[in-house]
Amino acid sequence: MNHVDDLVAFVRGELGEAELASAREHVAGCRECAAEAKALEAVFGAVRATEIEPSTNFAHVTARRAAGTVHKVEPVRRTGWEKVTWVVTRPIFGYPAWAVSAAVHLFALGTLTLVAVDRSQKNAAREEKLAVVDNRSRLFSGPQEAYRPVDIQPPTGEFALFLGRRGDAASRAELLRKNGGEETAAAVESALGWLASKQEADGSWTPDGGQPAYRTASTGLAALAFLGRGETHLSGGHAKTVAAALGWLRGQQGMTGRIGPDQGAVLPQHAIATAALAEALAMTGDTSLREPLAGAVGYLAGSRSPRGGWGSTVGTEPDSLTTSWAVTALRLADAAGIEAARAPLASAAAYLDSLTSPDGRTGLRDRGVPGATCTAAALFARRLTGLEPGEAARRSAVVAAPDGTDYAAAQFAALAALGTPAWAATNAAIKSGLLPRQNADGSFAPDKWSGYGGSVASTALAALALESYYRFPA
Amino acid sequence: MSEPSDADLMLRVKGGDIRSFEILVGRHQRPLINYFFRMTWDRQGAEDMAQEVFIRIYNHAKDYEPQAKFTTYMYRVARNLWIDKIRHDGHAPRTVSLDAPVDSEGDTFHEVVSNDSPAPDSRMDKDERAAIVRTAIEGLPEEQKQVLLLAESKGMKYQEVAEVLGIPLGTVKSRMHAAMLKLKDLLAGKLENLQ
Repeated sequence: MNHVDDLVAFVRGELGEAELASAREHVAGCRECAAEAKALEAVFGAVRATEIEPSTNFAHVTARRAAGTVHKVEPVRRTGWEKVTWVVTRPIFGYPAWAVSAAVHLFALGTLTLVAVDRSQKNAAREEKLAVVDNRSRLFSGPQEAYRPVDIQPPTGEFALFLGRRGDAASRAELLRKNGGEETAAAVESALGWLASKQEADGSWTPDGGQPAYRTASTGLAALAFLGRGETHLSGGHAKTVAAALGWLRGQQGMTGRIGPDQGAVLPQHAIATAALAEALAMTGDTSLREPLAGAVGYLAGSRSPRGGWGSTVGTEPDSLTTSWAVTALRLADAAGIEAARAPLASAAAYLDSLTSPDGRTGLRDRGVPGATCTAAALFARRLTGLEPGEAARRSAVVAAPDGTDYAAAQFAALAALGTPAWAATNAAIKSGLLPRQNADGSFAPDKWSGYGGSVASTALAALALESYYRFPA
Repeated sequence: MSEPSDADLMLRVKGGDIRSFEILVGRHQRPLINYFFRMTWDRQGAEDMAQEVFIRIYNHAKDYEPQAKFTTYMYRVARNLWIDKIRHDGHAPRTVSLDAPVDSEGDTFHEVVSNDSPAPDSRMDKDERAAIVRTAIEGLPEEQKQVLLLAESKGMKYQEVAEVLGIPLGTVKSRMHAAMLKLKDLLAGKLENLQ
């Protein structure tokens, strides 16, 4: 077997298309090259971890300093009659100042007359235009009744299963009651109520009990919990909450398209935020979300590892869980009509398969060390990328029943098991594992995620797990 | 998203548009500051040098030709400034103590997603591991370090690194390869803790 010549170039994404495809195939099957690539990715990741954040206002201060050094003009000192003569006779466009001044005054007089005649007609048109602008500006800040979404994109392909059959909040509540029972429906209602009460004035959620750096994740997950229940920024009882959340997420987007911080858990948070925007666009067809979503998808597509998956930050070793979130976001964006979202999915699926053992168990970064969360997440992501139903059913047998200590695992397990023979056991485990962990105020007891996204992330993930009853109506 | 390209912004800067210059600085400040930071391990010094590069670019905006990629142009200016600095004050990269405090960001999701992963508080101290990486980078020969740090600046491609340094593409590839193997060796035995 010929090993990859330059694994450094491979890991850095410096290989051409044909070379890359062949190298990727080789690395997927060669333990030696895979280990070397992993070690190199770890080195790159270690180098990148030394990165620092520029000081606040660096750009502004630099620009001010630059302007000061270049546009600094020494004043010419003139006194008395010299100053008067200079003002009147100084050349403007090659003519003496007095002549230019007279011409300008005559022109201004004529123009003012014409403007007065035309003003009444223009005012009417302007007011009409302002009314339209006003409707759109209220999209993320106030009541939505005046806004009418346009250009709705239908979901496509097999993903219609994920989006197409979902109805509004009322029909979802009915589905939830029917499939999950009254107690489950009440639990979701109560969790959303608690989340709404914890939203900050700026639309975000503070990771209470977690780490401040995870605000994007907690806000994205909370937004997804509302959207999963059928609450959008345009309709439903929580429209204002969802609108403010989406507005905050959009506000975090930088020029590169990235949503959220540029250090730490960059890509998992970006993927979650992207999924929220994508779901909102897919559900409402609100075209104002298209541009930020396209930017977010572009960043996600561009930050993929040469191995096809995504890691914590650009250039770090990919892992199955971040990749599963990225696939979810891209599949939702694809359903929302963002064409660029589809291209990265095939290699992402191949990457997930490379971490999955023949019996269906998936590891975080290595198939030799499988994990329950990763197995559930990867199976869900693979189903989104077109896993054959028989294979999905076979793999579902190894998905561990959620035990209530990891709500993300519960969410992925539920979504992965829907429509498979594992569903009955998973369904029972979700009810027995999650419902007793809900507090009287609607929040859920801490789980593995609380130390990061706080109670907000845990409660949102628990709600998402319980909402699986209508995310994949069989 | 329809953002103006770097070349568009530079043409506006050429016309005296300071706002476009500020956007350009905002766009490239981070990789440039980090390029200098990883050579000096001095935050303030790195920001001062980055600012100097941007001001040189602004002052010479009238000479900018859109044919040249902006980042190539920017890093050439940066490289020249670095050479000037070494000539002027004999600045040499210093080895950093393992105890030196560094800027680093918080934990990642990785530690919670894997069922078998250790608890966050059992991981190697972030500052300590960053200091180990610094020392390893300092152990690289200067020409390899230059290639590595440029390539790591905003994920610059080998071809662009070659243009900035004025060396053949093949030389960039071989230096990068050698740098990575050496770094891997220098970090051997510590990588498990760095992941």
